[in-house]
Amino acid sequence: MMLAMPSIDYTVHNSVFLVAHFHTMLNVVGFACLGGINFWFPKVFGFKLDEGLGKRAFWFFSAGTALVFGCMYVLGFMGMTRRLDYIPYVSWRPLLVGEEVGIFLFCVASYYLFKQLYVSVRDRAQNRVMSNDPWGTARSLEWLTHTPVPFYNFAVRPQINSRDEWAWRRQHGLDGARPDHYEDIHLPSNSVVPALLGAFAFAFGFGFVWRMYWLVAVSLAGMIAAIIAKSFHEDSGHTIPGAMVERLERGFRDVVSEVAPIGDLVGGWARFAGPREAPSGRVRRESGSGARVLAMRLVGRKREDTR
Amino acid sequence: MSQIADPDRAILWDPNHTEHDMIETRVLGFWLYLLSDAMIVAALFATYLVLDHRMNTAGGPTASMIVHPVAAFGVTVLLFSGMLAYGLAMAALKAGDRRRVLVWIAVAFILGLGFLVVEGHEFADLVQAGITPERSGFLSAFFTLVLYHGVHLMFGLLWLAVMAVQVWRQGLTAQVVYRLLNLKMFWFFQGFIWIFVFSFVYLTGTLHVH
Repeated sequence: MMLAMPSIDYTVHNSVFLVAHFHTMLNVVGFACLGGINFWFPKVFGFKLDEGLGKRAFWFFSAGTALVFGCMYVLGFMGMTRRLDYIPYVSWRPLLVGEEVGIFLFCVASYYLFKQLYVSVRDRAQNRVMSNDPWGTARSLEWLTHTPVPFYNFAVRPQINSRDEWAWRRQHGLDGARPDHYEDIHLPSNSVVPALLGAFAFAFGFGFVWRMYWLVAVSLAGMIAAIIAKSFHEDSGHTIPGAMVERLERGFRDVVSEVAPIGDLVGGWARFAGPREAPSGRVRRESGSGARVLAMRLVGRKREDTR
Repeated sequence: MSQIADPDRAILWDPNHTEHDMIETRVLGFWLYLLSDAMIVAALFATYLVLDHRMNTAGGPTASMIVHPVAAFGVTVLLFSGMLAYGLAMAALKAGDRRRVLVWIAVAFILGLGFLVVEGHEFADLVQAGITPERSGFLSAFFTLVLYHGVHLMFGLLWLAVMAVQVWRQGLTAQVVYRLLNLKMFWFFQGFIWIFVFSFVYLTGTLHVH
């Protein structure tokens, strides 16, 4: 948008000002990603990322941004063009050194990001999340269901009373509210077809890029065949009985510290993945043994390794 | 914020949460697909209208030299008869008459196939005369726009064939019915696009000589 203005465009054309500008814009996306990862990590995995290390990464990242791009903007104004293989003016040197120091700060920031991940996974037992909303200030709907999210998402679909439903419930003391009864939940069965389509689509694009037209033909035929085959495979999903849902939900609520289906990266996933496996060719699966196994795991089993 | 509910009397859980209408959700999903497809078609038309000018033919043929609106009118009649046939299949679906659904799907298939055969001949003639997409910017836009429609119709034919088998083997179950309804939207959408192709490519192509 800046460069749409001809006077600015002529002034900074092909200079490192331009490079600095669009990389700062990308950097904003980077900040948003880091924020999003820290915010939703517990929603996905059931434990928080280490806050101290996250803050440290943030400050190094911010300082690196300021130093690298601040210097680069100034250099652009001083007339430095991009893609130089030599430094024609000694006066640019201090600012270029400043950029290098900034890059060092970025490296420190990424060290702390990896360390944050490592430490958080290592100490996940201490960072486990015990309620829906580990932040206490979240506003939107995803925090209204359990953390991490069970395979059926919401046991009962919430009625929306406000734009920020979760914040509204918290304000009015309704955040502990539970449905008084549960009904059957109908879920679609797992299918290998989407993954297959992804693989074929990759081969399709690869074939076009490298002009391997036999691969294009094969993968296109594969995609079409997979979709048609799936349409003939009449599987209307399976149902989790309401009684089972109620037991699962009570497991979450009453004995959350003992059940702890959360806080374990692999184990947490495996437990939720339980009832979804083995879709079977049958049209309807009313109370599959998979769901029963899951209930035993969730309600009955205790964690020994929390200490 | 729209309306703040009274927290003391608010309903917190959706009383109808277990109901989900498969046909409704699948049809909504297909509408979203059609909208995204319509955006691609709009981009192709915009490209075509920009490139449909002597400046972009690189010395090659202009639209007036390669389109035949009378022949195009013939295939238009074929295509729209195919639309009508599918419409009659939908009327039969409403009546629950499986056999008539099959008959009209077959008629729609034959008419759509006729359209594609004629169009295929037309493009084969062009290619034989050395008029290929890489000849000029205009021809690239022309081939892309018209063949984008043609390829869609080809997939429509494939879909018609699959649905004929499913109606025959499975009957008018919910799964089959939502697919028939989606195919209706897809099939009629191709007719809708063809109206614009016919107007902007075949009719305007002969009207003005740049």
